[in-house]
Amino acid sequence: MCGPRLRREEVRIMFLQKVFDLFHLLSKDKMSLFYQGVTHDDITDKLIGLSDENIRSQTALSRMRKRVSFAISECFQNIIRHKDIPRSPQAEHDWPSMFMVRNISNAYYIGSVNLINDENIDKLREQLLKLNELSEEELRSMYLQQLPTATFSEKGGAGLGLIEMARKSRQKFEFDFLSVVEDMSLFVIQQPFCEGRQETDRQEVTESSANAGLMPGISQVKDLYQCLQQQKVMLLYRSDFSQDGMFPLMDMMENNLKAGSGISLVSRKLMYVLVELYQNIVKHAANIQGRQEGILLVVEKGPAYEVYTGNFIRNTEVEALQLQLKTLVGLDQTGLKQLYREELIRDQSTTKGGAGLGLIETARYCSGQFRYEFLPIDSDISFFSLGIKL
Amino acid sequence: MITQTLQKGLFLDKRADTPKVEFHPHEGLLEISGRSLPENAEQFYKPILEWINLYLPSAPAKTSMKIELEYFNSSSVKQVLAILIRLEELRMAGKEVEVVWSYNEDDELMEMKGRELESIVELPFKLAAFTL
Repeated sequence: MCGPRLRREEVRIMFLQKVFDLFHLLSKDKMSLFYQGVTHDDITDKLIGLSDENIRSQTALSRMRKRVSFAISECFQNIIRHKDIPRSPQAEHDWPSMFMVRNISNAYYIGSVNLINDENIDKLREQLLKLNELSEEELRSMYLQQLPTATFSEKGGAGLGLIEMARKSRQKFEFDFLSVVEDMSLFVIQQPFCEGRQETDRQEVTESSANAGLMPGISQVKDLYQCLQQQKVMLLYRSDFSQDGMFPLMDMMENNLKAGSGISLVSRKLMYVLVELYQNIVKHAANIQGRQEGILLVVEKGPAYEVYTGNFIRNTEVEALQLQLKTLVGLDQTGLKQLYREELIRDQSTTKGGAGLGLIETARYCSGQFRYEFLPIDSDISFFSLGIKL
Repeated sequence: MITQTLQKGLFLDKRADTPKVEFHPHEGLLEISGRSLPENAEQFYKPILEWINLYLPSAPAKTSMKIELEYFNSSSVKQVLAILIRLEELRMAGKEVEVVWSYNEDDELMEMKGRELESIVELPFKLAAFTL
């Protein structure tokens, strides 16, 4: 069914069926990004760029732009400065740091997961609990009090960053510690940012929105971390896919690759595949209520990568796409090259921006595995997911 | 922004998703550089191809087409090929045409793309690797 290029043992490695589950789990998210790649200062700007793009597309959020940018930067920097490095490289590899940013309704949720030494837990917990108890006025005076001495505290002003987060968020921190390796735990923290709350609401707001089921609790952060960590998902991006949203994402991936193993042939292929698959969603995903919802995942397994995408498509377009994919899966490199040349030379005005060409190129970059699935949703649309290995 | 007349040449600034374009008609120097990732490549390249159509009848004895791309999407490749096919006409009319495909020496994929296009068109290709 899937063609001669697909080997049985490879099928088990791919997690194509999970693409829809994750898309569905994040169905309330207008934008979400989960990142388990290299944590490097240069990446902070790109993360802010992504959220800026999301904010720009929603006027209701414009007043939060600065606060959200600040929080993204602060939270990401916290991982860089405050994670503890385990003695065993294996433990570091097994328990990567994660940064997340989600926009649900008119709120942003910014969080992180990273390893810390068990001996640091009590102090941190105490600090966070204390911050959660303080009013906005008390936070302010604490901030002013600590400001002059901040440069002398360990690792460059840990406390100050948290106080600022608490002040900007006006909501309580949600956090937890999970023991994973000897002497070390995962520190999980999430902080909501909402539009226009009064300072006196600080504690009530959190409870009422949690009751209303709008707020993704800390347990969801833990579950998602676990899922992404097990599947080695370096990047999960779910959003309304637009051309402008592509550049910060590309820059971020490029930075990640440069800061990690460097730009190799496979990482260049990865960038090209990301562009083709991203633009396929921009051009061909079903537009539902003015949005082209999609999900994109990058899995890093040693020197190899897997890329997954998912999006809705009109049922009327399923058959033609299915036929095209079936053809691609059945071809070897020589056949793909031939098809590519034919498509390239073919009359210019045949396709909507050369759609076929993009998938052929993707198949050519792919090293062996090319999988797809169509999940019928209703009489109008289906969910199309694609997974390829590089 | 686009100076459509042939005499003035064609100059487009580099943008996040489209390349810099510098076409000097009198010198026969045409250059495209940067990222070519437009959502609609056909639309972006339409005025470029139109300009080349104007250029062909009055082209000087020698035309040098330099292409130095950092990234491209598949639909842009199709448009670049369309440019090269037009330049083939110039060669058939007895004029000299040279394509310089410039790429970062570490960028194997860009080199491969150059070779691929070279094999499709009947034009002298110079693959020029540069070091950053």
